[in-house]
Amino acid sequence: MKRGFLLLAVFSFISNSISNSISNLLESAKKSVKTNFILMFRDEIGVLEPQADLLSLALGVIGFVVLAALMSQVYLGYEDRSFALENYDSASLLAETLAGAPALKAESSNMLSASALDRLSGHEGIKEREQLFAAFSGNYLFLVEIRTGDERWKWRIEPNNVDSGSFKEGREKLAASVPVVIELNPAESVPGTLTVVLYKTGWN
Amino acid sequence: VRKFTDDNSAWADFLISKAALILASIILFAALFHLIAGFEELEKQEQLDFLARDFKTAVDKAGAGNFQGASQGASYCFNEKEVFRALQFDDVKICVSGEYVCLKAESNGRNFSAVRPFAFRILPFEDSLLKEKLRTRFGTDGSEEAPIKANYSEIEAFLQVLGTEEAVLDPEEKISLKKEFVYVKDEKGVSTFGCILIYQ
Repeated sequence: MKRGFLLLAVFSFISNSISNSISNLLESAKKSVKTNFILMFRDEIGVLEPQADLLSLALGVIGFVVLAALMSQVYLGYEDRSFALENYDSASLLAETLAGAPALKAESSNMLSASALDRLSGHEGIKEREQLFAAFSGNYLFLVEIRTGDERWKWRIEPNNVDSGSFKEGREKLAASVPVVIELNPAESVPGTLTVVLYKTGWN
Repeated sequence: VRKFTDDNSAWADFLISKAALILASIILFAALFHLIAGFEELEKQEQLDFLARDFKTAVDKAGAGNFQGASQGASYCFNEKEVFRALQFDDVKICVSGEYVCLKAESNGRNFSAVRPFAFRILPFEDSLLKEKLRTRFGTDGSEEAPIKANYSEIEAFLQVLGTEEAVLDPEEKISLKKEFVYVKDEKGVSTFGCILIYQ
């Protein structure tokens, strides 16, 4: 019983001393922060004062450089995409026009004829291709791709007087498609697309 | 010298730092004004580009559509466009050839130009002149009644040469855009292709 009282007394003494020291520490920290703040406002030594205008100018220059860099990035981004933005309408117009070309159509119907496409995309269709592309200026380098919706059949028509390297894969290009109906034979017609693939040249 | 080295008032520091500050401010403001002036030039160029693109689209639309039949007509007037009326140039020169439309202008001693190529076959003169030139070269005028008997490549080369001359257009007047068909006869029969004639 006596031992229990002794332990309780020791424990209460320790807890009291810890709480006192913590409160003292907090009080001193509070005081030092307060003094520092007051000192900062009343400090007249002027460590930063002579260079304050230089610092603000440096900030101004950094801001200007960042603004110029951002604007040049935006402009370069627009330039990169300007070929597609400017020429999509032309590609779309070419696709619509070509979808109505009589050279691609079956005689009896208003659909694209698979046999006419075979002829136009083959070696024997030089004259037909010449007639098909006669209405277009040579300024736009483009080829025509016609494919059935199920990808079973695909035709590629290129103009005659173009270098073989002009339609290389790595060149910048854009494509516009229109839906068409292709007559595979008098008994079978399938939906498909006619795509004009426009390649970037020195003009555009 | 001793007096100079013992002077602790830092007047030289002060003067040098202020001079550097003034110089840097001048450079910064000059760069800012240059950037703003660059934007004005960019806007002027953009206006010309827009007009060239708009005219090109109008011509291409006149050329799109049917591959045969009666000739079709459309018109375009630069002065009817709000962008043209709002242009910040005193004088704009509009040239058209078989390949392109070119708008040229000058502002504050700097030349601006916008060029756009046409997608379809273009000739910068009227149909009577085309028929006359075809008759002179091939013997017939390429109409439905009198088709030309020649190779496509030969006719195309001839038309290409005809289209190389530039025609100057008046922006105040209407520009006619007419699709004319040239008929060609070969062993397989009569075929046709369209040309767009641009004239005033």
